[in-house]
Amino acid sequence: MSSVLEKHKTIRLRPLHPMTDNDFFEFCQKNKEYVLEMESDGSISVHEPVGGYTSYYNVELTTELNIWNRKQDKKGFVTGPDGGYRLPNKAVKAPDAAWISPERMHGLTTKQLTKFVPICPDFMIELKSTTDNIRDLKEKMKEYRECGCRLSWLIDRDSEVVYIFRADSTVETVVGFDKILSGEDVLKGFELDLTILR
Amino acid sequence: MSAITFMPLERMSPSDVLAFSQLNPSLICEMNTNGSIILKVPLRQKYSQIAHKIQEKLTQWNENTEEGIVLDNKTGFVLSNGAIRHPSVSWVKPYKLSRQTEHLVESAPDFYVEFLTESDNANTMKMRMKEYMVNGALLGWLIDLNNERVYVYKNDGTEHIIENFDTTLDGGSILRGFNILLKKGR
Repeated sequence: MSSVLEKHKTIRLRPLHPMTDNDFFEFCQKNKEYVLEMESDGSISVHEPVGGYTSYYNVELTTELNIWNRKQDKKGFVTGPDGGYRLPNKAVKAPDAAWISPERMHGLTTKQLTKFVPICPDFMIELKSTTDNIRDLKEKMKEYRECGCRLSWLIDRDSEVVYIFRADSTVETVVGFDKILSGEDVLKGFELDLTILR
Repeated sequence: MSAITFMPLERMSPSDVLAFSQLNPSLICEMNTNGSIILKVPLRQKYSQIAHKIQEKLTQWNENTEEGIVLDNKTGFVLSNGAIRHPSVSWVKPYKLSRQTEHLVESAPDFYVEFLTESDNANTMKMRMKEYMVNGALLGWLIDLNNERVYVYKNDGTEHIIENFDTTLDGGSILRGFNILLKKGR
């Protein structure tokens, strides 16, 4: 019989009172040992901190993204797994990597960029860790798309599969980490050689 | 992840904790003296089976003696140090229940049972057992299923270990005449 505990990699809780963005920001500051996200219905997801390997590959991904970003004439805004975004559906999410276009970034004030960034990034990556549930992550990617994300990648290292979610609602499945992903018309000229994740 | 401990924005009152538990019925919600909140997933089946067995035996014994009330882990005890705890099984004398709202008793249990599971730190659990005692409990059992060991805590300040499940546990002077054998199949 499988352990009941193994099914609880994420604990979902309903707060006693609805939390404003500021409340939730303060709550996150008070509880830094967990990765916290707020769902669109106001419930809070408490995730286990990731292990070394997941963190290592997250760094590989943000490094590639930021190297490309630095080379652009107009630089966008790149964040890692601890960057929180307040999405239009009221959820607060921290994608493993995200990029905001320079045009949209310039529309934000310094104050807005200091707390949860109040927009949906143009591009997002989620890297599945061994304990994550793939179905939950696919739902999360759809949520990002509905919130205005133009391109996102769900990367599953265990099975060497990437799911590409596009603004036109298509989902493409790329199998095998010998492939190269393209930033398409969102991150022009960006290419991610998946062999770095092997 | 079997439990999380977090700091709420503001200290929660016992009735806040109760309301929060009711909003999150699939989790067990406790509070530490410093106001941090512990959320635990329910015990795995091998533990809850033993908890049920003890609860059943205790209820039978209690029906004959009519001395107290048997409660399960849904009941929270507000200890005098401000902590709220949910022992797996507990027994209280009726006068304490006058200080009871539904699922919340404003005192320590007289008798309480906790489990030492794979995901628990043994020292933390032992501290927890002593905390009940310091706050007015009379008898406590900490059951380590994997090592077939029971830590017995008494209100005279003594602790002792019963090393295997072949030994009958008894309620001593607190639960007069109550005894149980934890060994499977009995």
